[in-house]
Amino acid sequence: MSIEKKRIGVFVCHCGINIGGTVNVPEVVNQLKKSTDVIAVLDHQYCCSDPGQNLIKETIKKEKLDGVVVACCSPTLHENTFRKAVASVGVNPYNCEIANIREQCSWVTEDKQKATEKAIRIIKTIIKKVQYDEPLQPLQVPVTRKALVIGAGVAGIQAALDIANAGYQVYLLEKNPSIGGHMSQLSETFPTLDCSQCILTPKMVEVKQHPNITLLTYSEIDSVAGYIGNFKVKIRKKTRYVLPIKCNGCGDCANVCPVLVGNEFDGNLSQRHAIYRPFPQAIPNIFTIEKKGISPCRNACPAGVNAHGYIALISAGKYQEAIDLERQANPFPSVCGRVCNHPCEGDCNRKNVDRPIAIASLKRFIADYELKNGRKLPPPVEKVKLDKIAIIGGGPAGLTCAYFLAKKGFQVSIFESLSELGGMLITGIPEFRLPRPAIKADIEYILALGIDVNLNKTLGVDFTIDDLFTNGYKAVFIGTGAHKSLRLNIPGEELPGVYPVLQFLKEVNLKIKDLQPLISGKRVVTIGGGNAALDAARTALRLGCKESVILYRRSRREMPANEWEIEEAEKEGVKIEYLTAPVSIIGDNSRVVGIECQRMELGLPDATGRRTPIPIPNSEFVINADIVIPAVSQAPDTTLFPELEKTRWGSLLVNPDNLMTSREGVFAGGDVVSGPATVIEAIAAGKKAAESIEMYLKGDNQQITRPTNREIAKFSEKEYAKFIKQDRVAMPKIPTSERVSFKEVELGYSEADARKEAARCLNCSVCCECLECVKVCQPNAIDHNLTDEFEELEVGAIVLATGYELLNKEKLGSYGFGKLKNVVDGLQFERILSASGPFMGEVRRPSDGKVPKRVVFVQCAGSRDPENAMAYCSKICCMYTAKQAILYKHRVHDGEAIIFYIDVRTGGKGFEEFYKRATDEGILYIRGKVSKIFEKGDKVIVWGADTISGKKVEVEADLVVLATAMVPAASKEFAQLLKITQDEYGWFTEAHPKLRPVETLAGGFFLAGACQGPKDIPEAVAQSSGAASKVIALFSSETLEHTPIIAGVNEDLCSGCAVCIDVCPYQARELQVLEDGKKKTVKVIEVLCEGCGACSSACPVGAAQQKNFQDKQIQDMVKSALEK
Amino acid sequence: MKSFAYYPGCTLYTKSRNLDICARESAKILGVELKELETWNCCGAIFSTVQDDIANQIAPIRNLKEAQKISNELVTLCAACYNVLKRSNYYLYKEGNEIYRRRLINYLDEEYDGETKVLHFLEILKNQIGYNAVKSHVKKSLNGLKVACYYGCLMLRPSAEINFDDPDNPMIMDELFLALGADAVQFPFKSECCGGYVLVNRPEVATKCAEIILESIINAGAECVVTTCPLCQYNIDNQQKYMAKQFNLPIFYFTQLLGLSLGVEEKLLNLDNHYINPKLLLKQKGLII
Repeated sequence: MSIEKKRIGVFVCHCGINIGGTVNVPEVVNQLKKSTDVIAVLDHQYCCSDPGQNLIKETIKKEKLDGVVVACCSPTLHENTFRKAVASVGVNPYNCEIANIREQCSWVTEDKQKATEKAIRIIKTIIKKVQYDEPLQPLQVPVTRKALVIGAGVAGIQAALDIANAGYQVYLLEKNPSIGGHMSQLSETFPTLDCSQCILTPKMVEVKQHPNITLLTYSEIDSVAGYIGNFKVKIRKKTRYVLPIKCNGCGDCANVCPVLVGNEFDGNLSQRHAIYRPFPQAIPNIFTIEKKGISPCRNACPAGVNAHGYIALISAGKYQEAIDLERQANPFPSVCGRVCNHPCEGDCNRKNVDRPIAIASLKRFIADYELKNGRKLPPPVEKVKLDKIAIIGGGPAGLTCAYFLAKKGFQVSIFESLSELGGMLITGIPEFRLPRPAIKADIEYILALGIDVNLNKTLGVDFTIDDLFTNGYKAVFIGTGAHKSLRLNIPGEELPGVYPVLQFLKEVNLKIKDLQPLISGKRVVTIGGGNAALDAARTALRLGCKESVILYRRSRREMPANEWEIEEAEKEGVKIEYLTAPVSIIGDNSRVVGIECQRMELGLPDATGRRTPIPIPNSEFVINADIVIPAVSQAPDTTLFPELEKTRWGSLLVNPDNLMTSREGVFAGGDVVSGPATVIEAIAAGKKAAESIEMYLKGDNQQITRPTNREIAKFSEKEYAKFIKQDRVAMPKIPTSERVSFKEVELGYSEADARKEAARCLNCSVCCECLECVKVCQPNAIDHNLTDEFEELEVGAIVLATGYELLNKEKLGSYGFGKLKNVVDGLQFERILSASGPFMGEVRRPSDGKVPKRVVFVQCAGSRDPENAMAYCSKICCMYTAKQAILYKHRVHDGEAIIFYIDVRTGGKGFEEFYKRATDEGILYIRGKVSKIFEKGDKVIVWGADTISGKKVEVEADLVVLATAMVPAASKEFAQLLKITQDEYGWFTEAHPKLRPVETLAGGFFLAGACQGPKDIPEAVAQSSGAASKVIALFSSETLEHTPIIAGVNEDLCSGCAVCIDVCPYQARELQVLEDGKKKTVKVIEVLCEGCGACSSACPVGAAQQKNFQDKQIQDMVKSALEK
Repeated sequence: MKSFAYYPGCTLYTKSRNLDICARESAKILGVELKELETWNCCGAIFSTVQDDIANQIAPIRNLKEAQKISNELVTLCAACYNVLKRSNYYLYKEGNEIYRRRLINYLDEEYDGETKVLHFLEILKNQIGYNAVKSHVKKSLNGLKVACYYGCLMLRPSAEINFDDPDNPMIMDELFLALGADAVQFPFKSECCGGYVLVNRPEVATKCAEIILESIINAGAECVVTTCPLCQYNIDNQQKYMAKQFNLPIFYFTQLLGLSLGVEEKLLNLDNHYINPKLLLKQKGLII
């Protein structure tokens, strides 16, 4: 590459003694004059001065220069000055370069000799660069004259109004449901004691009414692309589950919402509902539902019962609504409230605090309550559908399937082989756990929907599946259960006195035979570890046996029966022999006399995760027994349907997606499919089958679409630690002495018990989706199925007004970790003072609502404390503490206010006078820090120092207010998303701390308010107007200049490998096909290129070249720099 | 069996035999060995922050060097020894202390590389053995015993140098006693000064300090106190003589109750070495006969 040699002039600046004091400028000039690369070398005391610039201009004219090097300070300072100067005399500004011999040379050494040598080297290097510099023209870029303001506190509101009033469009984005920010939480403002809301709300209304402002509340930034003048911002509009155009803000929804959670607007000193509006003057005046995924209880239920929903409704005293909600998923509240194995309780988050909510017992309460208070049965459902459906088996699976189909208007018939409905509920579960009326109550309700019942009809005996289809049934559901007791397969099982468990329970439960004479006074041994074994053993006790023993081959940990049932059995006197297996049943001619047993030990876990029992050799022993009840397992009797396919365990084979068997139109579910399982699983299967049958009859044989997986709500360890422990309400039971009859053991909760227990719910997902709000919303504005929406905005400038938060009290260990109820922070005390606050403007303390007679204010709580928290001064606390103390004295005339301070800083208009007023009103100021705050009885003790008297001070206070440090609200992630720099604390960094306080180093981003550092309201507002004026200035012309120092592509060299496209951080490169239609090369989208040079270094063939930083240039510069 | 170098210190050989013996016995049960240094000298007793006070620092550093013959992990029990040994090591290798280090090492017989890690026995129990493993060795659960875990100052401060637990709300001992089945009562003075340092010249101040702590413990519902520091133990036990209010609170070393729960023989617990007789409480709880 050979180009014509430039006529280059060098101008060396002394910068007073900044350069001249260290660098020998005359020597530099002499040395450079020897170079053949330059035409003229001159020096000046201050090149940036007018005479200095004139010298440069004159020399250019005289020597006909076309390249200039100015050796002076950093290019960030005067590059622009000199480029404009040379341009005024016809030299292309991009052929004028700065050689920095101040910041990089004279300022960093005291060695004059070396400094002079280095200066010469730097200048020579830059001369090489100028030699190859191309004359360039700035690119013209259009400006989108719309602004985005992020954060709608007072700062954001002011910036938005100023820009909008200048005639430009503004988007005002706020992450919370309402605009207003922290200022809307304040009671009064210092030093004038204006009511904060009274001066803010007019501005809020103005924002809402302004034609140029588009409000984007409850929204967040998803991504930001582009550059100054041309940003593309993707906004996530979080769904409120309320349609803004329909909601009229009447608040009927909040009145019926049963969920109460901490109200963050009141600093969690009061409660709000899951559907809420932060404060009455909120803008927009729309309600919002808070949801955090799905509650774990609801997620755990196989039948999808909304446990959170009915618990919340119980806590609000809405028992009818609660049971109606329950029945939407489960028609067996009375049964499940008693015998469900409640997986919901196993997953309940409250277990991380103390113990899970007694969910099943609460369910039982609403079922019992409804019965006691005159339940109204539902009217029969109109048969709107013509299809007939047959249900074989009247147990929980069959009845549930019938219930859901009948609700849809199908004609349903149940065929049951026994003379009663209920299946295993009536045959297998003893009355002391599940009384017959409890079962009857649920069945009565189900049948009320209008279901045809055919008792004493056995499949295979009285009818066949073919008969059903011939008789016009369009679909069949089989729910015949698992009623066959499995054998032990040991010798002696045929002896009289051996009773298979289901036979035993059925005979007792259905009162088929009076077994009392048989059992009374006998020794009964039950073999097995499931619920059936325990039921049998406890039943035997009630029949008057002498002794009831259970043999189980593993240990208690492996026992499949419910833990609480085992406990009750032991209490009643059942003996359990663990690690014991029967070898044979010993008979004395005609009947059982004992069991030969073997001791076991536990080996490795098997497929179910339980450890396998292994016999211990020579451990055989005999125990006496008169009656033996094998209760090892049960199986379905599938001989009933020979034509249907079975699994290898003998149960029915179904398609797991829709529960259809191998025969078209025949569905199955419950124990007959799963083998012996729980009631709730049978109910779940019945419900799923009903949905499948409906789909099938519609001719839609597709898989049923299940609701998508929602995130399961949970809390952090810290949040769990904050909940107050409160043990679950104990279930009242009859004393063990009374457990000789079949009277129900558990008595059920009273109304007060239930309300208390339900109130323990943590409301994990906040909204419980009971849908009470939907029922009362007259404009039909609520839709729980709404999802977040995205919107892409095109804006030319972005104003950041993300504001501050207060330092979390948990970080202040010596001030009680935020655990002491009567230690509040400044914003909480503002709410206590506020007329719309938790105490309606009366000063009361959170723990007991008493009026505090002595309040201690602690300033610098976390500020000016580099060891423990923040090193900086939070600036506003001195004044707001004085204000709060004054307001406290105004409200509580005999109250005493004490302020601990380090210094009182009153720099501001009217501030010192206000402080004087505080001291005049009798507020006691103690100069010193507080070392420890702790509770003693109902008082809060404050230990501090009085550094004026030099004494330790102990104050017994009713309430303590911590003036906690201000910290930035914007997170690190947010700053990274926008590529804005933050200081070590997270405040946004301004472009220059003195001269450019509202700009950032990233073009097009401006700062307003406390996101840049602690400041009070007037300062925040002033800065916002400053930021707005910068935006308006930017929008004042239609185009912007964009630097031409960007990357280019040498199309002859480019092979189209596209490596540079991947490395480009600005998406400024794309592949193009050249005109010949074959070769591919890379093209630069010039306006997007920021000239970072990543492509140049990545390009393997040197095709990507940065303008005025070409490889040749850089090689020459490096050579020159290293020249000896 | 994992071995650790063990530095008992003077007090554990005299006044506080029970702190020492119970720890060694418990360690045996838990499957770790506390191997006492072959020779050891005074820990330094009080950490001197005077930078040119070289002589005062030689004692702890010699012990740290000696430990390396056994292990790079040196275990202590006495809170004062732990404080001095750990801080001496910290200061020696703190950035900017190179000259100080060179000068100090000149006084040693052999070069010391700063690699000895000073650990408290509680850290071994929590981090190396694990409280779940400790729980599995419990013979007598402390179920129903309400314990106040009192840490004092030396274990915790200055927190940047000691870095043992949260100086405002330490939990390491509380978690141990929860694992042993006890109820660890929470009170605000876990790390408040016991006054032990002024016991000799201002006994009335020491009594007052101890009284404030004991009052808060009693109000929180505790039945006894556990500590790791011989100075605290002596002070808050013995000063009960001079208090107007009779608290009658037994003050244990944590190793005594740990040992009791792991099944160490009662006579080794040395329960007679207390001003407030702890036997009544332990009998009442069925922990001793």
